[in-house]
Amino acid sequence: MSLLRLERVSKRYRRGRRDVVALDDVSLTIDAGELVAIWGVPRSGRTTLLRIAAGLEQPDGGAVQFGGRVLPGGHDEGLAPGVGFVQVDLTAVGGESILDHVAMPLLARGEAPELARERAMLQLERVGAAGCAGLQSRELEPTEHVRVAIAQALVTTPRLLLVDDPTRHVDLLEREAVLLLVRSIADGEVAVLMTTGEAMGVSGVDRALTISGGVLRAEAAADGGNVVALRGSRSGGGDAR
Amino acid sequence: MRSAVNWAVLGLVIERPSYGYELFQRLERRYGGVLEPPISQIYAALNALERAALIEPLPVEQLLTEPEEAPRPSARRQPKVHYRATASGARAFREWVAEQMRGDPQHVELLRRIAGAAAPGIDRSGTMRELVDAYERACVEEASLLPLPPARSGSTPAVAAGELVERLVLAARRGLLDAHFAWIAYARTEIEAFERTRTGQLDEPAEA
Repeated sequence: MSLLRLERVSKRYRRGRRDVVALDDVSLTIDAGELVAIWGVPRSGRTTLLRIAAGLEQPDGGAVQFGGRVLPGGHDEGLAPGVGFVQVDLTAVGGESILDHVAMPLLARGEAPELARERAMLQLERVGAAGCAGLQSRELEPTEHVRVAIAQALVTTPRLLLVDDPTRHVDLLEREAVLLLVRSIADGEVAVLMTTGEAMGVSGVDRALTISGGVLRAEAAADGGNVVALRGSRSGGGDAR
Repeated sequence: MRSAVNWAVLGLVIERPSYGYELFQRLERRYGGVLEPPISQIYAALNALERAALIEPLPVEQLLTEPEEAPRPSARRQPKVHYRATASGARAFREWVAEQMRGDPQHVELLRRIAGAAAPGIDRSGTMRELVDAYERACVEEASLLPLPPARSGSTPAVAAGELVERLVLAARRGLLDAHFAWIAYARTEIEAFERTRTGQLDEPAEA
């Protein structure tokens, strides 16, 4: 059984008096431990896809299932249990230490501070950012922001990690290290669905897809480069795996 | 010389002198998923490269003085024939790499086909969109098959230099793909704008 299943999901936004299509009839499944990358430019619908998969937004049409259960989505319910979401914001976070910042999801659900910090430290070590524990957000390099965001998403031991364009703000020479870290997280326990805006982001993944205009377009699988069209140019319905 | 395997083998020999089976293993590690020739093709490539004077056998006495390449003391068999690149081999390889980076027949062919699609009686913008979709599938497949660059191990200066070359070659291939992806996004925007302006004017209805 697949871990995540999006079925014919659509989403529209109002921008002023305009109606903007963010996702148009998107179907996609992710299996446990799988690493899937979606290539797309900003405003292609890639972030909306991740937010709906995370349960942070409600689709206008279609359904989202995680672990066999339908995600309600939206209405300030926050992340679905078992899902981690990584969106790097270089300006966010208050004045607390990075260790407390990473521990926050555990503290928020009432875990003992000492235990929460211990688990946060383990994740900082896992992502190669143990040296940042005592720092504050404003002191971090862009690549450290990404590592810290991944550590915070991992601290609740999710089964699915959603990562939105992890190399977007990262210096050129640091990008492959960030991608290797993301790849190292996907294993039998944790599946990773990430978006990217560069060719390097889809290198060596299990499956790569593209998105534009809210439509998933193409897919390449690592097992022998089995490339399929997700949606023909003139056909109506798309149906990805 | 048209065989990609021959050029790949030459590139590996330029990195460091090597023999057939080791080249087979290195090629598998480096290009697995992209090039997977049987070992017989490696030996055929070595023969072809030697005939073209792009590589030559390494003299045995030099082999024994090179610590990385020396056979183990226990090995009493005839030493394997190690090959090294000749000066003309190194030059030919540089020229071939440059040619590969310049030439992009897939892209050119696509443009030609789009221009050719502008014939009466066919759905021109629809055909263009199909071609762009097909091109995107080819690009995403190529990008997913590219390995991430090797880590900067730098165990010896020769290894570090080899890794540097590999990183730069990969970066060039990725850079081309990034350009193709940018072109695909641009082409789609142009085609959609074209369709919007023609909605209701001609017999090419745009999608909602």
